[in-house]
Amino acid sequence: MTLQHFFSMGGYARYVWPCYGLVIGLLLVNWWLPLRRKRYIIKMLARRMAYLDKEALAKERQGE
Amino acid sequence: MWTFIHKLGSPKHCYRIAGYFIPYLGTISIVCFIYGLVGGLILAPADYQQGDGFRIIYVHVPSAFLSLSVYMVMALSATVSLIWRIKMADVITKVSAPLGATFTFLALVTGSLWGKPMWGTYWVWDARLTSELILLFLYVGYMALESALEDRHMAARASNILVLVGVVNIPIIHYSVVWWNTLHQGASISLLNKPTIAPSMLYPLLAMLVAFMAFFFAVMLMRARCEILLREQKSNWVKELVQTT
Repeated sequence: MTLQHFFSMGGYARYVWPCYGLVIGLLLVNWWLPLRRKRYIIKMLARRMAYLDKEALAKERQGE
Repeated sequence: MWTFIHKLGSPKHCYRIAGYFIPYLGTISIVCFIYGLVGGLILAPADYQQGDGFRIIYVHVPSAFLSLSVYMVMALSATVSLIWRIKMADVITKVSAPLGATFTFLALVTGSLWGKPMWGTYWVWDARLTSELILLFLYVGYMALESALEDRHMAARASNILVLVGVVNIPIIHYSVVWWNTLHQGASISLLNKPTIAPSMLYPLLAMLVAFMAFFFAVMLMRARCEILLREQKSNWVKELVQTT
């Protein structure tokens, strides 16, 4: 199989390459989304915990 | 044995076990995918009828296969959740749905891109294509229902029932090419019969099937871990985990 034949896919390039592009693209997006979401969740929970800690500390001081 | 099953039901252990399997599944998926790409796009000979256009099957068949099996996974976990009320089963049903919808969408689009040169049309309202489209609507309907209801338990119950009702569509999709006279060709590989395609064409396809399956389980577990973190945010182990990262 020559390189040119490979890229032209025997005349079916118009159909074959978009298929592979779309599949690989969507799979990568599916892979990446939960990675981003996990980072976001951990950051959000850390911020919330820091906020709650501060509030608890303030309450303790008021009580003194 | 029972303690193991009991542990599987606990979010903390689920989170840990999932984290242990994800790298292996990811590696399997990538290796098989690369082998499938090389084997399918370069090594396999062109089909004598369809030329190089047939190479679309290396992504079309695994997508279509996964679109059905993901639904079966969801049906199974929906049943478990309805009968035994195991929290983790709800998580699995919920996080599988977007993946199932992705595979169904890919199967439909790659199918129609194959259909244009081979059948002369992107779309026909034939039994296989129509029932697969209904499957896409089932996935989308499930996700919409699941996210629409405010109360989580209520949402889980209602959407689990929707999943179980939709199971009726699965045998229809699978046997549509046998029951009706359709444009879609019959199966070339099945569990019971000898495959009707040459080994050089078959092995990349099998590799792609493995790659897609491993991909599904890896990403499903990744999504499940996110969902567990959110649902268990008030428990101590999540707090410790957040503080150490």
